[in-house]
Amino acid sequence: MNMINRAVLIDDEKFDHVSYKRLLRKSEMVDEIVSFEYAQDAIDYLSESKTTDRDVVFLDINMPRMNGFEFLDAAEKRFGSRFKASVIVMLTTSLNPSDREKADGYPAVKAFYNKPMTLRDIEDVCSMIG
Amino acid sequence: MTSALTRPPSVQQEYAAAITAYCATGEESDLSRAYELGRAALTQDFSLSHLLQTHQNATKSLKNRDCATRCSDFFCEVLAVYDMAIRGYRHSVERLRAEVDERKRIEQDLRQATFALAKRRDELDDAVAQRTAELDKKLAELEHVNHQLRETNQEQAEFTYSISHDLMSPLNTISSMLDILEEDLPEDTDEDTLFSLDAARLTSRRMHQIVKDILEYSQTIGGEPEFSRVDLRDVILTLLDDMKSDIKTHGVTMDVGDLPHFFGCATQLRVLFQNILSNAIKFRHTARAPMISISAHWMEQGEFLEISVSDNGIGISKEHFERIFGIFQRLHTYSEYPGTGLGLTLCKRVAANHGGHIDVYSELGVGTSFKISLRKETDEHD
Repeated sequence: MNMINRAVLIDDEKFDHVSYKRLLRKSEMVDEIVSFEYAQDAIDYLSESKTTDRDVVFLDINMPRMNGFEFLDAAEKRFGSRFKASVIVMLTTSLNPSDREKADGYPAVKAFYNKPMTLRDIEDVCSMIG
Repeated sequence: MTSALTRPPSVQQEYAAAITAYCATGEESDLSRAYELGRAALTQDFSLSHLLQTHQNATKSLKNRDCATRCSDFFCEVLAVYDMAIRGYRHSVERLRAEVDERKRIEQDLRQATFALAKRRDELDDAVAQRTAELDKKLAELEHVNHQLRETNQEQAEFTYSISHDLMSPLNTISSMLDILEEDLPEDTDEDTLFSLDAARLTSRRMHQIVKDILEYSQTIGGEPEFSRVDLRDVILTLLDDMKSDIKTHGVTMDVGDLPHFFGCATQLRVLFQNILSNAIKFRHTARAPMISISAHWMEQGEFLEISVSDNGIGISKEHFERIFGIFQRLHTYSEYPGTGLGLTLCKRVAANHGGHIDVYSELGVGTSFKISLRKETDEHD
């Protein structure tokens, strides 16, 4: 099983960052964690930094200004075809089935989990990369 | 021949004079008198026998041989007039007959056209009756659907209300338990534990606010709003009084213009302005003293009342003008500015309940103006 090089957290809730980080550290499968409260800031970060194929984005859906799906649209526009290869994990508290269906339409989204994430979910993600 | 002095000579008298003259002279000019006399006699409706009588009376005293020929010539001239008349009459009759036939034909056409029109009118009447029946049916269906929608809305509002209400109880329990937990924690509890506890309490308070907002929303949109004469100035001033501690703390300058009385739902309007005003204070700009102004204008020849609430706060980026009215849509994280994202949704609903809408004008970093348009409803007492 491959380690996650860098986990990029995009979630408007600061307390959720705490939960994620705790979980990711506990899994001992993540080297680096960066977090953002606004999706736009994540877009800017991703366009400036070098990403590897072992980077995973953990993406919330409901966020102010730019929500999860709008982030995916903006990223596709900004990064083009190479974005499809990224590993995006979508997270939501929403029970709305249409969200899951919509996520299926984005090739970059490799997994869709309901919050809270579990260790098992992290392991599943690790098996997807590399 | 003696003639009455006041009366013109009769045809008979003139006939007698003319024929006598012609008998005597045999002149063409005297003969031509016969023609005039014939016309005069015809005009006066002399029958042929009457004409003959006139001739005989006139020629009684004319006896010599020359006279006989001239007399019959004269009479023939007179008769010629009659002859022409008869022939003409025949022509006229034929022409008349032709005209009568033509007229009959036209009348027949007219009768047929009238019949066709009457038939068409009957067809149209049937079509109209049928269409009216269809429309009545449609109307009945629409009223039925409308009624159902109203009931469904009411049901949903009640459902939302009771769910929210039911959520309050366990929330309060969580809150109490957290308070107990904090009280019972040992003095030397580590930072992480304290942090988690704090996070839990903050979040449960937040949830409490969300549930409260949902309750208020469902109460506002549910049921038929009661309309009455509302003193808008009074509504605003009362709200400002409720908010006076915030206004003082943040040094807000309020400028309230003339606001009219308005026929609307007092509770809903209060909620609308409470949300707009609390936003104006919440989203103040840190670099300057907050200023909020409220004014009202009648628009569209008095059909709409437009109330403007303007501030010099942080402003809103144009791309978000529509988003802000969405349910649970916010432009900031909870830690930056607390809020649930229901306020403007509620305001939009209240404006719609008053036949109006809300427009937002804003520049990021400069300030924001909300223009609330409400349709004028006429009171029965107006």
